Amino acid sequence: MKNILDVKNLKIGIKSKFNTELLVKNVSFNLEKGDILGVVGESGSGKTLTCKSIIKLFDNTDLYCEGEVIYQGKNLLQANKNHLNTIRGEEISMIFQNPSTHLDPLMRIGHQISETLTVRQKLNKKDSYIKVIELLKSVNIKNPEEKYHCFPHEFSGGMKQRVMIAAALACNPKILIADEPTTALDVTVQSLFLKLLKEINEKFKISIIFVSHDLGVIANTCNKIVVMKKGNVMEFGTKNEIINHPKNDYTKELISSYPQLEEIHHKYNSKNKKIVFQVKNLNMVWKKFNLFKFFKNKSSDISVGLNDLELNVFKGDRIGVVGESGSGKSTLAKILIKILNPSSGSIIFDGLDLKKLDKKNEMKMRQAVQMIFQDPYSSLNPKKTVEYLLAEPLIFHNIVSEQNVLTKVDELMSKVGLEINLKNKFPHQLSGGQCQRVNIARALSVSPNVLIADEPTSALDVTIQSQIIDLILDLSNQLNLTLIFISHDLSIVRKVCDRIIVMKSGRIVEEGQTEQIFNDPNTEYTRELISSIPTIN
Amino acid sequence: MKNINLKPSLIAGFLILFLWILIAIFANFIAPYDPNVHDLENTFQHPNLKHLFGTDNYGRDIFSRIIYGSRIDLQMAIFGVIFPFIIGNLIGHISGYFGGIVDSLLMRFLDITMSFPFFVLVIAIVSILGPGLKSFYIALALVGWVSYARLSRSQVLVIKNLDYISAAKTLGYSNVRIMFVHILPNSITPSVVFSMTDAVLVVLLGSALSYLGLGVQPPTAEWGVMIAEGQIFITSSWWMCTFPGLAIVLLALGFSLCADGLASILNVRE
Repeated sequence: MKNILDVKNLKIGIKSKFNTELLVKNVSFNLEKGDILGVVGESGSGKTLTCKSIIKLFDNTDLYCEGEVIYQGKNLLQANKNHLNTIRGEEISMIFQNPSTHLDPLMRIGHQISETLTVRQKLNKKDSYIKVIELLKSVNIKNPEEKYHCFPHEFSGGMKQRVMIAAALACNPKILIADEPTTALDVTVQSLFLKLLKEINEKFKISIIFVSHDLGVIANTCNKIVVMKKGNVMEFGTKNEIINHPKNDYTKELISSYPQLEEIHHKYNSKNKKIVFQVKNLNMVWKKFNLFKFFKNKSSDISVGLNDLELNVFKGDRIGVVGESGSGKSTLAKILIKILNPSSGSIIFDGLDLKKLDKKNEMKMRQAVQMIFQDPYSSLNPKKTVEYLLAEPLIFHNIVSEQNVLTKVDELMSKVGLEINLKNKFPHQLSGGQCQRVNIARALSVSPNVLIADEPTSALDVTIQSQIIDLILDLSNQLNLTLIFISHDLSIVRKVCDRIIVMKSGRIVEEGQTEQIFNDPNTEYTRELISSIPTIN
Repeated sequence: MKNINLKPSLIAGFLILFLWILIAIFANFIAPYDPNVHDLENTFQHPNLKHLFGTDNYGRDIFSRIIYGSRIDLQMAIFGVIFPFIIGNLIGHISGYFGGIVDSLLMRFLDITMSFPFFVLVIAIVSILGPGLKSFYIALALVGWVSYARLSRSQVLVIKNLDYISAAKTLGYSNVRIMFVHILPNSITPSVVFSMTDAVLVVLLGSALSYLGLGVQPPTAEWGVMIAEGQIFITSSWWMCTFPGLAIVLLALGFSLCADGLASILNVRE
C-alpha cells in the first residue's frame, strides 16, 4: 500500500513579538490509501490544528508553520492559493464538529450540496440534482427527493452531519478529514454515523482522518491510531498495537481511564428507606410559536418536555438518569431543584410540597438540595474569585460564624482536592477540572442531603473525567448523600449508580436496578442504548 | 486582572481627559484674563502673544473663555451621562431579569420614548422646564436612559440563562442579590463603553442646545455658546468659532479613545 499523505516534522506555533509559542511540536504520521486514521488526544493537544494545517485552513499570517505535508509529491504547506483551492474540496475535504453551525440556515439542503458541484465541476442544474439525490441516498437519508428542499433546521443533528458528509463527498475527494464529527451527537446516532463512515470508506475507497477525544469511538472505527499530547505524537501505530500493547505511559493512562462497562456489584435495597423525593404525574409542556403554521394544526404547537412522570427517590439512593438529548433529563433536574416550575403534577420533598413553599421552607429546601452543572466554566461567575464564590453561600445562609468563614472555605477546598493557593484566582484562570471541583465545593458548602449532578463530566477530558467521578463517589459515600446523576454516558452511570432510570421523549421507559438494566433490559430502546456504547475492545 | 496590556488608545484617551480635568480644576490659575470682563479697546484681536486665541466682539480673551468653559462642558459630560446610565441600567436589569409582564410594560414604555426623535424630545422638555443646565440634565435623564436600558436588557437576557445564575438560584440567593452581585458586574461592560461614546454626544448636544439658546445662557463661557456668538463674525474673525470648536473635538477625542481602550480591556477573559 502506498502512502497518500505524508506529514513530516510538522510544527505550528503562534507568532508574537518576542517569541513563538509552539502548539504543535514535531508531528509526523502517514496515511495509506483506504485507511481510517484516528487522531486521539485531550483538548489542547493540537489535533484540530494539525488537521486544519493539512489543507491550510487557517489564517497563516500570525501562525508559524514548519515541516512538510506531502500530497501527490507536493508540499501543501508551500502550495499557492490556486493549487490549494483545487485540492480543498476536490482532493481533500473536511467535516466539522458542530453540524448545525456549518450549514447555512437560509439555504436549502440540496442547494448547499449542489453548490460545490456547480462551482467546481461545472455541472448543469439537472445533472447536479441527480448527483445530489444519489449522494443523499448514499449517506442513508430517506426520501432524498423530498429532503432536497428542506432547510437545515428541519433536520436532526445526525441528519445534518450526514448532509455535511454528502457535501464533503460531492467532488469525490481522496481524503476526508473528520474533526470530532460525533461529539455533538447522541450515542445511538453516533453508532449509526460511525457505521456509515466505515461504509463510505469501503464503497468509495476514500481515506479518512478521524479526529476525536473519545478513544472508544476511535478504536471502533479506525485501523491506525495517532495518540497526541500537548502538540507531540506520543504513539503512532495500528489499532492492535496501540490498544492491546501500548508502549507509551500516556497511552496506557488514556486506555485505563476510559470508562469501561465493568461489572460492579451495587448492593441496593429500597426497603425501610425514607422517601426523599416523591414525584407524581409530573408534566412539563412548552408552547411553541410558529408564525407560518399559526392558523393550522394547533395540536403540534405544543412540545412536551415531560410526560406523566412518576418517580420515588429514597434516602441514600444513587440514581442514574440516562437518555438521549431532548429526553427531558435536564428538565427533570431543573424541576426537582425548583429553578423551573412544572406545568402540572406534584413533587414532595421531605414532606414539603415544592409548589407551596413558604420563605422559610424554601431556604431549608435550597440548602438540602444542591446541583452540579454541566459546563464547569459557565457555572461560575467569571468576575468573582474562588474564595468569594465559596464564602458567599456560607455567609448568606449563616452556616458558620463570620470569623470562621475563611477557615471553612479552606476546609471545603481541601475536601474537593483544590490547592489552597488557588483561592484568589478567577474562574478563567483555572482548568476545566479545577472549575468543576469549585462547583462541587460550592454545592457542598451548604451541607446538602441531595446532590443532583447534571452531566458533570461531559465537558471534561477523559483523564480528568475519571478523577471527578471518583471525587463525587467518594464525597457521596463520606457525607451519605442522595445522588441523582444525569448522564448520556452509560458506562459512567453503571460505575456510579445503583438504580437507573431510562428516559425517552419525556417519559420513563425503564426503571430498575443497575445490574438488571444492564444484564437484562426489558425494552428495545434500552437494549439499543446499551449496544451503542463504544468500547475499546 | 493583572498584567493587562494597556492599549495606547486608552493611555492617550486618559491623558487627554486628565488634561481637561486639570484645566477645569485650575482654570483660575491658568487663564490669563477674566473670561467675562469686557475690554472694548481690544475687540476682534487676531491671535497674538497677548491673546493666544484672539479676542471676541467684546474684547474678551478667547483662550481664557475656553479654559473656563471646560468646567461647564466637563460637568455636562459627567452629569448628562450618569443619570441616564443609572436609570437605564436599573430599568434594563429589572426588565430583563424578571421578564414577562414587567418586561412587556417597561419595554413598551421604552418604545414610546424611543418613537420620538431624540433631539426634538430633549428640546421640548428643556423648553417646558425653561433653559438652563438643570433642565438639560432632567431632559437627558428622561430621554437618554433608553439606550442603556436596551443594552443592559439584552445582556441580562443572555446572562440570566447561564449556569452560574441557576447555581445562584439553587443556593437560594435573593433576586436583588443575584441581580446586583452576580449579573451586574458581568452585564455592565457594554454600558460603560457606550457611556464614553455617549459623553461625546452629550457634550455636542449641550453645545447644540446652547447654540440654540436653550442651554447655558450667555455671557457664561461655554464652548457651544462661544461658537454661537462667533457665528456672525465667521467671515471676518475665524478664531472666534474655530478654537471653541477644536476644544470640543479634543474632548470628544479623549472620550472616544477611552471608549475604544476600555472595550478591549473589559472584554479580556484570558
